[in-house]
Amino acid sequence: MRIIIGLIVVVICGALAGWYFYLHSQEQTTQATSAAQGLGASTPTFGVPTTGSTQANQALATRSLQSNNATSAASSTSALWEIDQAPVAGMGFVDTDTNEYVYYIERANGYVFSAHPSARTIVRLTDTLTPKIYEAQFAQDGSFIERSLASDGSITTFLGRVASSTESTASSTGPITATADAGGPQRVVGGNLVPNIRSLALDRVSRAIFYLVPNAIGGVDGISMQWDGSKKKTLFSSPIGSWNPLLLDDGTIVLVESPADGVLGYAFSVGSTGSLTPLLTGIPGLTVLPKAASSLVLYGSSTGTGLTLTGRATTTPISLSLQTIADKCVWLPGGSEVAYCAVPNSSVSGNYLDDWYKGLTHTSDDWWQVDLSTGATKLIYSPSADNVSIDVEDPIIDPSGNYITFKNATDQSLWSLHVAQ
Amino acid sequence: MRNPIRLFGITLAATLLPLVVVYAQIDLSATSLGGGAGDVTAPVTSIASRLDLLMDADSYVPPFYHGRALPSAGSLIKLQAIPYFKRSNGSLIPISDIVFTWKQDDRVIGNNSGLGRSSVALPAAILYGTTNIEVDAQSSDNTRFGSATISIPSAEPPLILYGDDPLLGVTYYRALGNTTNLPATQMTFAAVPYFAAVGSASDPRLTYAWTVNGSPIASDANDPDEITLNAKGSNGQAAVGLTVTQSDDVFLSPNSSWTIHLAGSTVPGFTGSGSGAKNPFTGQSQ
Repeated sequence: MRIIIGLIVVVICGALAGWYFYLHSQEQTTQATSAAQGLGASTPTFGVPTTGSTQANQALATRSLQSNNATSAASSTSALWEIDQAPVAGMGFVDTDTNEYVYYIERANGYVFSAHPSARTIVRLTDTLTPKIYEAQFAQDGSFIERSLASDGSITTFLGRVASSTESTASSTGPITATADAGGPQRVVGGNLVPNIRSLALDRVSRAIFYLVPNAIGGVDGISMQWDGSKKKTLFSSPIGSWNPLLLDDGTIVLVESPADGVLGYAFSVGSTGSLTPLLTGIPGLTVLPKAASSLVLYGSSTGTGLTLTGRATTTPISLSLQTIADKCVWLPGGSEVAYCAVPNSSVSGNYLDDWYKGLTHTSDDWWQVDLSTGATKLIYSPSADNVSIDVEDPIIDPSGNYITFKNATDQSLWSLHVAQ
Repeated sequence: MRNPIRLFGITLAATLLPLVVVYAQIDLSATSLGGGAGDVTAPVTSIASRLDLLMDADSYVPPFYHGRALPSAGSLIKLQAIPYFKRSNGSLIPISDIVFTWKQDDRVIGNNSGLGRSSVALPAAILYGTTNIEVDAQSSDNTRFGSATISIPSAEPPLILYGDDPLLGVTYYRALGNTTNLPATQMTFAAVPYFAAVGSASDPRLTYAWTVNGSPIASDANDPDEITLNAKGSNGQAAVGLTVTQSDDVFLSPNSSWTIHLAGSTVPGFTGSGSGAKNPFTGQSQ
């Protein structure tokens, strides 16, 4: 009898021990999951210089694909400022009566932040959690467009803004808060556009939108509309589906065939009636950056053996000595013919453009100034001076021409460069 | 009336899309059909004009991809001819008044040619092959014409692997290299078959054959393009292999492999041995 009781005790103890180890392993799994969701992390403090993101909430897995060589922020005296280490979906300059802010959306949570480039302070504006924001754009009044993927794989496009603390009902046409609301982070209000918008451009001044949606013949229709949905009309239809639209501050719509190394590309300006006027034609690996309200255009070519950058003020192209793509350039606002371009500081492969768009290759870029009136180029900043390596993506410049903001393509972190002379 | 106007397309390079645009002015004679004694022969000026030719394909590219969708075997090449045929008064001749003749590999594509037929979708060449496409355009009054030629190779769709994070989504901005070190213990990865002749990465015509450290891993029916690796109880090294086959093209089977180092974990009792040197590495479909 004692032997039986002893055996039962041993079995029970063994079972309890097994149960303990099982629970222990499950607890660790739960902890990892919670960490990935930001649970248990300390509450981010906002309004503190050089901090201000929810990067502490990023799980180890989330951070695991980040660059190892671009995470060190430049010093506070540098012209360069790392606004946010966390991956950012998109950003834009927002004007208030007295200040300019960089608004941006973190990719992992959809929170909207406001960063002050000169004071180097950051404020979180929203508390509406929306993970997996792949793209975002801002109008100058702070309203924004964010794009994501639905569970069925379709592309979603949301037009939103930050609600005010006194706002009782959701509306997408109310006032925009340009700074932090006194009541703290607010919710996001707005609505969705049609699903599966392939690509989209926003006029940051007028908030006009031009987007491309698949059509019945396997191509795309180009549709223009105002922010509130008015004046919606189909301007353009093509059996070709690979287009990148641009909407300049003066309302000009430019369509650029999506580039590929060595493949001829075309760019057109789209008239108000949908007429296409050729802007650039038959250029391999064509990337384009027109300047609003002018005939100025920068265009890059990836021939399959290298990169070239060309400027055109009137009709005569000016070959520039920089090897980069127009995607890495911005025009200095105003009447000058000056642009800033990020240029890889080492030679790139013949498949650079295709590989870069696929995330297969990354470069370390320096910032150059280009003056089309003389054709002169000048190195203005090298991130290596701050022991930083940055692959510039989606650069924008503020209306006063003082700050360029851009993402690091390597890890989608957000940066600002002070370029005022 | 005779119609002797021809313009020769010239392939400028062996790579994609050489385009020929020829500007010329050719004086011809137009003769009435009767040809008899009282017929009138009047000079007609036919002007070679500009014709742009745009191209992409209906092949797969992931959402938010900014590059061109390029043709691969089994996909359709989509072409659009854009003529700039100006009348003497400067106005453009509408496409509906222009006859387009499409040829693929020197064969006229009758079904896609004719008045106003400015666009066409044609099959891409077989794997590693090249197809040559030519379009001739002529205004219905025979006063303007243009021609363009392109040469389009078909390449095997590249297989590229990305992380798929619960918060960030698929990190298309950073593809995994041949060897990647990741500090995570568990991660999900998504394979993207760029330019495959399908509508999505999870298209049922695609079959994903995953292996981890040589062992085949069954694909999930809903997300066959994804795999989740869990390095608990292992040294964290995984040799991930992937071959993708397409049911309607037996010759197409791109494959690739990656070596991924996850953070190994030696949780006592988890593997039964407590030894990270053992390799119970598990791969599981999402």
